[in-house]
Formats: sequence, structure tokens, C-alpha cells
Amino acid sequence: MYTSVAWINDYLDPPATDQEQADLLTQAGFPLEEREEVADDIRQDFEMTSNRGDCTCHVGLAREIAAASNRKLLAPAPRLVEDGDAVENHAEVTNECLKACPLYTARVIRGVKVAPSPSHIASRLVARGDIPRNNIVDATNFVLFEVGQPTHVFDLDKLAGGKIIVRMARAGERFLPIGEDAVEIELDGSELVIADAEKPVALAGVKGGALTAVTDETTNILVEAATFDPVAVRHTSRRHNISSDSSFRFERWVSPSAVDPAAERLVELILEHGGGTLSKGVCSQGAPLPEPHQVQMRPQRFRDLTGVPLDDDTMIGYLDRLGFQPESDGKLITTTVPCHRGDIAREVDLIEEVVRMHGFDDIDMPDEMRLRPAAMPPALMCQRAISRLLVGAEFIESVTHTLVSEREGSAFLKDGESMMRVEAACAGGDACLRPSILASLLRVRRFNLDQGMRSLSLFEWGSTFHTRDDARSEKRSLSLLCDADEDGLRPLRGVMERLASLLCGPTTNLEIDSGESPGWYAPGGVVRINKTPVGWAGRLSPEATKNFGLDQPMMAAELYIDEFMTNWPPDIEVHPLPAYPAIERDLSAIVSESTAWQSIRDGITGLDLPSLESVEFVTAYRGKGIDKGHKSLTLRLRFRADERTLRSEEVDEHMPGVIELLKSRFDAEIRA
Amino acid sequence: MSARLEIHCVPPMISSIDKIEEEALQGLGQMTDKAALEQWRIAWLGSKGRLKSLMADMKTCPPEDRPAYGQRMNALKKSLEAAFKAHRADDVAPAGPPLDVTEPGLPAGLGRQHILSRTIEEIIDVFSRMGFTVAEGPEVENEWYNFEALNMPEAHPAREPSDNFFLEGGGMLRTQTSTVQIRVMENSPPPLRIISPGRVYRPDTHDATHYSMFHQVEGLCVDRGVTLVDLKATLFHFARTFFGPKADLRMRPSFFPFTEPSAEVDMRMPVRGKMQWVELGGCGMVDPNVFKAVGYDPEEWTGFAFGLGIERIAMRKYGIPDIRWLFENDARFLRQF
Repeated sequence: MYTSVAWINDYLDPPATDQEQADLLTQAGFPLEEREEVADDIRQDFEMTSNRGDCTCHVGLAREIAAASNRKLLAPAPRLVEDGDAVENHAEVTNECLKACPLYTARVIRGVKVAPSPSHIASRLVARGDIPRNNIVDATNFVLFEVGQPTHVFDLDKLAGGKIIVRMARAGERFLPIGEDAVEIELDGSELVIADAEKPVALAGVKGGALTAVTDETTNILVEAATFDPVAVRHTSRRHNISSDSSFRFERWVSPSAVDPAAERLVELILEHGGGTLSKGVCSQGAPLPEPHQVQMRPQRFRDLTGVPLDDDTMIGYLDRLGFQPESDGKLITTTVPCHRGDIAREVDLIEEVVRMHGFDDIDMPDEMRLRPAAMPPALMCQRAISRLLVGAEFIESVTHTLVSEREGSAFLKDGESMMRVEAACAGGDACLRPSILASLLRVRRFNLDQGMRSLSLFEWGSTFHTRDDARSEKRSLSLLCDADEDGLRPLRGVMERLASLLCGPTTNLEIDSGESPGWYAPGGVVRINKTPVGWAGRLSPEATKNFGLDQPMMAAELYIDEFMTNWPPDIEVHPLPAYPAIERDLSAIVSESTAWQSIRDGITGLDLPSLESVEFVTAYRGKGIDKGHKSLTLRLRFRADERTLRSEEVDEHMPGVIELLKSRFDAEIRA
Repeated sequence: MSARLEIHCVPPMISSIDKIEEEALQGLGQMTDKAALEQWRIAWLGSKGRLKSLMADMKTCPPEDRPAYGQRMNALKKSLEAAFKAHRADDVAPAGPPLDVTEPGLPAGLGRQHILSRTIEEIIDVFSRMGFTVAEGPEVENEWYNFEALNMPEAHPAREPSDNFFLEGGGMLRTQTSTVQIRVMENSPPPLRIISPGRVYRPDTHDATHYSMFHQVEGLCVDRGVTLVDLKATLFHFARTFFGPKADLRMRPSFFPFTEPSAEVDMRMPVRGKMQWVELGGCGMVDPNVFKAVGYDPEEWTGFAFGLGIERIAMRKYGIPDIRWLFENDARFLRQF
């Protein structure tokens, strides 16, 4: 809230410098945000918290400064002369909504003269950044920023029937707010309004109407002072996207007890600067004023909760300076809550007040700490290890928005799945919760391509979302994306194999079966770790990549490995290294493209050759000398015995069987 | 000791070694090719060279002079060997192909952890040393966890549709990681000390300081006798570990529905060349209503909670001027860390 240093000082004895005001208010919970020197004054902007509506005015802030620094608070004390006839002769108030409007009051002044405000009113308003209008409107603004009570002045002669009715709007009613750029709005019936005999004349607590506003010709006025329910005011304000200094305050609660003093102060100012005669009495309709309530605090509870060793008298002193009239019976401090403090209802509220007055800076810190040793969750440690592995494999980690566009997200839905969406009203940008992180990674890849990045490997951890049969799914995924090269999936698979052994130990078996994979892979397969399916990997379909403006082929994997991560780290048992040398035999075989490497490996392994240690992939060659639709696979058989050195002849006698298998089962042509 | 020896008892033979050294070094200076150099080496340092014979002369020294003579001879040997090595290095090509050690390095280890996850990791590490463990929770939440249990009843202003990502068909994207506090407290009895890092969502127009998704680290400590002093000590220790021992902090009163007393923690740091107080996060003692919502007795247990914005911390620490840089994922940006 914008303040004037001089204005705050109007209520302080002795006055405080701008710096003192800033420091004291910051320590009280209202930090200084901006400071600006204006003519003969300094404007300071303080951040407000939503629980302290009572401080959104100069008297409220002066009260905080006075309490914190032991100054005297000089609050305004209006004195009025009611010279006119009875107010009932000129106005009538009906309050139909006591819940939304706990108190409505109207006073009438006749014969005012609208003119510019005197300089001491205008200069205060200018100092905090307002533009003075005239002595009537300025008086309402002055009272608003002085005591925090919004008020409104109607041109009484324009109120149909001289009537004020506090009621709900009727659907379809139209209303033109005050303001140079204001446009007429249509009400839907959910708004609390102030109406005259015919029409709404104000959106209660939010904005007055243009048709009944004070003009230079106005002579008779009705002064409204009321309090409205914060929820009702917020609703109207949001519903029509109209906010005002009034709605800001009402949304933070204004005490009904503050209504009459504020109205009297306003009337005093108007009479002083605009003349006129105040009618006798007040048209007032509302619930009874709430009784001042008492809240108790145990001083020992304060010490237990804060750890600050204050004695009872110090606490009582702080509460006294804040106006809580504390009384102690030795065990319990009983306070009477000042009417402007709607935020105080519980013991802990008082504890907070004492802490605030004491100041956080004055809380001493010990140089040692109590500690209960705790372990990190295995999944977190595992995630770190995997990230380190991927960074070592030249992958860059991205962090992207969970929300993607309809087009980006829908490419990654399986049959029967649909996307979860945020409601249209709250989605400024993309509305869909991503069903796959690949949607985001492809966007990032495209962005980097535009920056000239020719090759890039990406990974990201994040939740993925979808709905299937009305059941929602939120699952953490690790997704990988890299540019394809002549080695196909092998580079990415190598990373996944290393990842699998990190996850489950060195003997872990990672398989990718060339079977079922979602439609955005062409081709792809299910990734299995020790037979458990954990996701998919493969080449992304051209449609999937083109969707993101990428022409080059991309390799990708989506892994769901939470289960393995929570059991991390795996038990690792070291195997002794082989004591005897191995004998290797390489074979090249031309087979059709449709022959999967794994089937050949499984076939040879299935021969159960004695001492066969492994069947290894060496290369796959396509091109010159090899018919189209075929590839030349070079594979390496490694033989080793545990207890002795093998002889060449022992190994060589197995080779015809292997060749025969390749020829007969895979229709292979053996090259060497 | 040796200085005294040289001054008082230098025998004539030792002083002559200086001359011999001069002669040898002069000779070395004149050797210009490899063969000549080798001849010099044999003549002076070889197994039948001058040095060997001079060593043998030691026997002719009086016994009391022998240590000094031996020392001088060792010095001479070292001096000639060093001179020979230096001379040879000038003339003779090194083994192996030419090497220009000033050529630039090839890029190595091009992968990188995202600066946000690195920051989260570092924050977790500081708190884990203070006995906190990590808890995580879902990002799609219901209003009980996101609002009600956190003392934000139906009419609370933070529940406006324009301030939240409500989902079609109910539920919402969480606006704060405090939801995890509630889930943890519902499922485990006190005492506990957790931090929960994660993504949170609030509708916002994206600009240099606003993004509709960001990360928080929420902290919660519940035990018997936990106090505001513990909260202050924990946060100050964190900041001084994370930002350095000179980190200048202050706490000032504030308001949050789920803590009381509540405070904001500010740190003094340069912003565009000017020292300013910058908000690090909010904190406070867990509100008794929150304890009641999860079935803890607020008279038996006390606790504190805090929430730190990760983006803000990373941006401050590394001088990142625009939050969008963190989510664009330009590899050139990410590789700066």
C-alpha cells in the first residue's frame, strides 16, 4: 500500500522519519517495497498481508509504529453537529442481506457545495499517488486511506424514491460503474448490490454507479458507510473483473465497529470543506455489533513453542502496547481483542503478536542442533546415480513444462487413453497434462535445432498423466531422446544396458523384444529388465517427429522404473575373474533383414555347446556386395573352460554345427 | 657448518675444482653437434672421464678434508649433468610426433545435469546433513490436500479458479509442495523431519520473473519441543552453507494459513549492482489446525515448516535474469553450469 510519510506522522507523537517508518513496519511484517520522493513528502509502498486489513490505512500503520516504538497514537476523534431535520424525511434503508452486509448505515447532508479540496487534504492524497477530484469524493478517499473504512457518497436527488435497498442483483440487470473508461455490465444475480427503488446504484463494496455519482451540480448527498462479507465482495470483483481500493479492503475484512466512527469522520470532513447541513440521525440496518472478545495465552506455552525465554511481564508489556488490555493471574494472560483485530481468535495468534513485537532479529540462535539421523530414500539415490550415468553418456537433462498442447500430447496416447486437461478458465497456455515426456523432449530438440545444435541427446525425469476407463494415472517416467546414426538403436541401447546394470546389478538382462510398442515408434519394442516390462524404446515414427518440425530420425526410450528404484541399490556379488584364456571364432553370415540378431543368438545358445561362454555381435553390414533386403552379420563365439586351457581343435569341432544351424534355420549364406 | 668449513679449511685442491668446472662448462658450450656432445659426455661424465679420476683423488686428501672435498665433487657432478641435459634438449628432437600443447581442448563430457535439479540436489544435501529425509507426492491433488488440510477453508482467496489449475472432472495441479506434508503426517506418526522438492503450478503469464510451473522445496520438522529457535537455526544454517558463511539473513513476520507464527526469510544480496533484501522463502511454526487435520495433538507435538522457491534461489545464485531460460532448455545455456 502506498503511504505518505507525513500522513502517517499526522497520527504519531513524536513523528518518525521515513527510514524509521520503513524499518519499524518491516519488522512488524509489512516490508518496504518502494520509496519515492515527492513534493515536500516521501511516498513509501509497503507490502500487506491478507490477514491484516486493519493496517491498510495510515492510522493502522501508525498504530503499529506506535506500538513497536512506544510512541503516542493520535487517532482522529470527529465531533459533529446535527443541524438538519430527521434523516428519515429524506432517505430509507432496507437491508435484505444481513449475512453479506452485516451493517449498512446512511447519513444525509443537504446543501453541500462541490468544490476543489483544500490543500492539506489534496496534498496528502497526491503524496500517495492519487488524483484529487473534489471536496466530496476526496473526503471519501481521505477517510479510506486514513482509517481503512471504504465509504461512498450518492447524489441523493438521483436515488429513485430516496431509497437504498441492499439486495442480490436480478439476473439481466444492467449497471454502469463510475469511471472514465467504464462500460455497462450485465449482472447475473450472484452479485450483492446497493439499489434504489428502481435499479442497482452500486456493486456492494466494489464500485459505485455512474448515474448516481456526485457531480459539480450535486447539492444533497447520502453518505454510505457499511461493511460487506469478504467472500461476497471478492465474488463480485472477480466476476466482473473490477477491483478497487474498497474491494481490496473489504476482501480483507472490515470490522462493523469501525463503520460509525469512519462515517462520522467523513461527515465531519464534508461539512468542514463542503458545507451543508447534517440531518439528524442515521438510517442503519444490520446485525448487532459483535461484543469485544477475550483470548487467553499461557506464557509457558509461548516459551515452549518459540524457545524464546521471555518473562511474563515482558509479554504483558508487548500485548499492552498493542492495545490488548492484558491481565495476568500468574498462569494465564487474558486479553480483550481490539475491535479492529479480526485476525486474533486463538492463543497462537497472541503468541505470534508477542514474537512480532519482540522481533525475530532478537531471537538468539544456539551453535548446536538436535539431530535425528535419517537415511535418504533409495529411489532418490538411484535417480542421482542414473542421472550421473546419463550425463557421463553425454545426455543433457531438460526440465520442461508438464502442460503441453493438444496436438503435441495427443500423438502419445495409446488406444483407450485420453489426456487429463486443466479447465479452460485457468489455462492461459497449453491445457493438456503430458501423457509422455517425449512430447516435451521433441519440442526441446526442435528448439535447439533452431539454435544450430546439430546433434543432441536429452533426458528428463517427470510425471506422465492419462485417463483410462475414468481412472487417472500419474506415473514417473525417465525419457531419453537422441539423434539416430548408422548404428541404429545400439548407442541408446548401450546406455540402457548400462542403466539396467546400475539398477539391478551387473548380471542384469535387458531385452527389447521387437513386438508390441505404441504407435509413435516405427519400429520399437518393449524394454524388459530381468523379464519385467519397464517401457519402450525404438525409432520414433516420422509422423511423431514431423509433428515437431523434425525431419531427421530420432531414437527414443520411455522407462518406468520406480519399482526398481525403490529397491536400490542391488546386491552385488563379485565373481572371480577367469583363470584360463578364451578362444574366439568369428563368423560372417548373410541373412535377410527380417532375421533379428536376438533370434540368431538364441539359436546358437540353444545348441548348448560345451564351454561356449558368449555369442557376441560384432557388426552388421549392408551395402555393396550384399543383396538388398539382406545384411551381413559378423558374430563372435567365445569359448572358455573353467579349469584348463582349451585347445583349438576342441573349439573348431563345434563350428560346423553352428554353420549348419545358421544355414538351415536362418537361410544364411556363410561368408567366412 | 659447511660455510664455516669452506672459509677456514679449504685445501688448495678444493679451490681448484672451481676452475675445473669453469673449463668443463666452457667446453660444453662449444659442442654444437650430437657427436661432439657425446664426446664431451664421455670425456667428463664417462666411466673413465675426468670426474671419475677427480673422485679418485679424494684418497690423497687429508682425512679431515675429505667430507668437504666429497661435497664439492657431488656438486660438480650435478652441475655438469644438468648442463649436459639442458644443452642436449636444445639441440635434439624429442621422441614421438610433434605436439603443440597450446592447441585448444576437444569438448569432453558434453552431458549436463539441469541446473534446477543440481540446485535441488545441493539443497537436499544441506538439509540431509541436518537429519531431514526426502518425501515426494503426486502433482495431481485434490482440494483437501491442497487447501483444507492446510487451513485454507472453502472461502479462502487462494482458492479462486484464476489462481489455480483445476482439472476437468475435478482435482487440480498442486499449487504448493505443502501437500506432501499432509500426506506424510497422515501416514506416519511423529517425530519426523522431511523435505519435499517438486513441481508446483499456478496460472501466470510467462515473463522474465513468472512461469506457470516452478519448483519448491518444502520442509517439515515435527517433534517434542521443536521451537521457533530451531526453525531460525535450521534456515540460517542452510543459507550459510548454501550461499557461503557471510550470507546475511533476516526474518520478518508474515502470514500463511498453515503456519503461526509465520515469517519470511530475506537474504541481503546484490541485485543489479545494489545490495537489497531478497525474499528466500516463507516459514513458520505449524498451525495447530494443520496438526488437528492430520490427527496430531498440538499440545504434545510442535513443528516448523518452510518453503523455498528453487528457481529464485538458482536465479540469484547464478545471476540468471529470466526464468524462461530455465525451461527453454537451450543446450548452450545448460552447458554453462
